[in-house]
Amino acid sequence: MKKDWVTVKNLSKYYRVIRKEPGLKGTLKSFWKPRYEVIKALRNISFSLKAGELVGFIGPNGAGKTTTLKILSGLLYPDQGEVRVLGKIPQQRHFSFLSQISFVMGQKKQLWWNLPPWETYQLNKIVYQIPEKVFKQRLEKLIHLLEVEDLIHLPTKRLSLGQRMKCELIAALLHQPKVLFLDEPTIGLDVVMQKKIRDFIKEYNREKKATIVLTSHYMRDLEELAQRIIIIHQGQIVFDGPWEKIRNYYSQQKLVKIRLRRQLEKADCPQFIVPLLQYPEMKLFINRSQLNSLLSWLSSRPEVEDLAIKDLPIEEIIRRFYNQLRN
Amino acid sequence: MKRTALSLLKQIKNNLILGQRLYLIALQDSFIFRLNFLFLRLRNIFFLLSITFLWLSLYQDGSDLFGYSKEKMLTYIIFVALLKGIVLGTKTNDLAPTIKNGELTFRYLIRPWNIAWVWFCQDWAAKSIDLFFLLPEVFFIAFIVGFSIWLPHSLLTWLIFIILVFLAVIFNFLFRFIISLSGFWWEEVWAPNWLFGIVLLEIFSGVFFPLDILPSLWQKVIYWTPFPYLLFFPVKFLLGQVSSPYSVILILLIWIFLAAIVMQNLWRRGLKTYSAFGG
Repeated sequence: MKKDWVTVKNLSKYYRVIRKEPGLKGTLKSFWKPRYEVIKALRNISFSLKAGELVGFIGPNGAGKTTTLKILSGLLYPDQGEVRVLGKIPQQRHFSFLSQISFVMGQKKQLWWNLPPWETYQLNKIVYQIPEKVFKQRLEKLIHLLEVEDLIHLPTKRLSLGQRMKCELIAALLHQPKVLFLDEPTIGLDVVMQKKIRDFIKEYNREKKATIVLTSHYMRDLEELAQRIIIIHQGQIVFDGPWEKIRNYYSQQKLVKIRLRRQLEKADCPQFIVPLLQYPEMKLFINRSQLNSLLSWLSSRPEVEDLAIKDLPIEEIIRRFYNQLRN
Repeated sequence: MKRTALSLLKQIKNNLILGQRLYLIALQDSFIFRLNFLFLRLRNIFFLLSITFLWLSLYQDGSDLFGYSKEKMLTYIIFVALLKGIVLGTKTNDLAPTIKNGELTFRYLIRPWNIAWVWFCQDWAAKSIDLFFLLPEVFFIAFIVGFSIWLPHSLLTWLIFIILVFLAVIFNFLFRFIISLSGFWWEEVWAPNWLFGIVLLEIFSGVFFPLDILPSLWQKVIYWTPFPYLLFFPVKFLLGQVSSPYSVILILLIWIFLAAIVMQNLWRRGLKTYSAFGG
């Protein structure tokens, strides 16, 4: 039985924002008597993570993913509920806690902007009290894995977004955190770079048995990395489980991609296709029960050049999941 | 007992190594060339020159003014100019924008270190750079006035002077830190920085003139603030015009104590506020 490294019980978090009426009058009014509005960023969420688990957080913008990560790393205070990470209350900011976690956020930087990443690594060596020999080994390995040999001595501001992200990751991992929070680590990166970072995260999780919490807009990231996903919607957890479970919900549906030689005539088509007609490519989401009749009809049409049947892509699954929530 | 002492020593050693590294980083970070830098130095030289010539012209008939001989007044100007770099030199002003742009979270809060110590060490980089430019500037002024400056001979005087300066450095740091914490609450941080950092701090600490040329009511009011103990009294002590330096030390210690409590409190509250608005 593995121990829980992260436990969250009935966590709620509210933000206060100033509401301002438009125009000069509104500005003056809000200056004298600001009107605050409370936004419920997290509403009574609970979950726990075991050692070595890699969990993906999914949710639309503003759903509360980043807020959750910030509370878990002690950067924000919860309004209600209980949070423990590695047995500690994160907000107390015990050094023994801080030195075992890391937080990487795609667009925020812990590297010094004007200086080469190397300087930050040296600093982290001292802050986390990593012995020189160990430090050298780890740094060399990380540099090699992420292929940044030539970059770490250039000023950070000269690096591209992807290069910088890799250097940030190194800074975050030199002390080998047991718990790692990654918020959109692949944002703004090209596909090749995304893949590289993904592989790297997977490797770190496997080798170090670290607990990793990951958020990403790229479903590919999550599909490939996370064994378990937690979907947050409007501050609440609406799904928590393995990928298969959510896929099964929608396994009754298939995606049929059709390539056409010529346009299909409306009159020739079965009723349910008519509104979906497109040229030269069509995408149809079809129930399994309708699949047979559709296929036999398609095979008789000379306009069809090619067709493929697939499971629903993950984006579509998530989209439908949200839609279902709304209804 | 022995063990805790040992671990304490180790902790101190680690923090000193950390301080050295932070100092070097801040030094490199500040030395990235900025045109601003040059203007600032020019401004300082003009300021020193004009204030020197102003006093020289006032001393033309050879008699003492406000209880200062010409020699002592020039010494005051020169030492205050130097001390301004050492005592008031700071990088902690940058804390306010750091809070505002969220860098505080990812660069400072996430690491297992004492954040006040981090900024204190960075302050020394700013002081070093100031001093690096100030030394030739002050030498230049001293050269113009023909090195007619007044220096004490007693070693004890210098020792006490160093203690005073060190305490002033600590208070200045705490004060700047407190001002910068306004970044947690206020959108614009230049206003408090300007009011406290320049107007109050520089005038009331005696950068522009020795405070005892002011009417005595003014003096009394100003002496109730911590600022004159940063530059004015230390330099005055060096000139042999402070009979009880220990009371100055005591007053500084009290101010440091008060500032440390305020700082701790504001910091804790600031972090909570930061959190309430989504930092």
